[in-house]
Amino acid sequence: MNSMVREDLMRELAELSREYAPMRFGQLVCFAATLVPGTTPQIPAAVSDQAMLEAIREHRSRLKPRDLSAFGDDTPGLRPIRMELVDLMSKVGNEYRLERLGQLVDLLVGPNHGIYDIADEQLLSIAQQYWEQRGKNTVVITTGGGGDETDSMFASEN
Amino acid sequence: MAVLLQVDPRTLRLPPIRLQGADPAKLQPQIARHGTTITGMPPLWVERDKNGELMVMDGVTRATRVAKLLPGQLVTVEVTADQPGADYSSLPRVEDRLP
Repeated sequence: MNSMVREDLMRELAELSREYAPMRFGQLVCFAATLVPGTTPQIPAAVSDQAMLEAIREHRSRLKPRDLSAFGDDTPGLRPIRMELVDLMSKVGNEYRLERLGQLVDLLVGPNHGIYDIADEQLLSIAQQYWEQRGKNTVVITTGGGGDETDSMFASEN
Repeated sequence: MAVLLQVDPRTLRLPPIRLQGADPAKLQPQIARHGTTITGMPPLWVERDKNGELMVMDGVTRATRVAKLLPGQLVTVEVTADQPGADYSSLPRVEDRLP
């Protein structure tokens, strides 16, 4: 993992949050993955941080001011929880040095939730749990869809 | 200016992370809350590929609700990104995953 690229990526995601305020953080990461040029749209875990970073920057460079009034108060991107989540995801990312941000979010979320659907509050809670328990638990990477595998990053040593 | 279009939500492509369609846990409450009403519904956010196919990035549940309860009803979408190198034809449409 290139920590400089990851930091830039998290900053760009925070800025993208302002443009697409009603989107959940996980949904935003999915959106950013589909912005990466290619024939078929990508899923987040398959996209490198560098590619996602460049795609967001390119996209934002073409954005015009947006009218979000139709969304009323449903603007989670403007709430403090989004900034808290971005900050915590950066810390967790440094602790758990997965190559791609999409992999990290995928693993935090686990198979019981979907990265696209998970609410910021839920994701923040999971990330906080991981952050508070780091060092106490064994971290298990589950990359397949296997039945007996751990359903998230957490696996008790007991 | 934003590009706004009126489209049949059944024709919209699902994003690769949502190939199974709307989450039932979200769809049912939305149907219970909004029913067949589209008044005040925010525009869906879509991306557009080289052939003009549109992929939903925000609003899969809304698109599914309207497609299911109001066949033929057009909805407003905002094209948030043009992807001239992309081809969304392999992605299922909303109508392919209606509950």
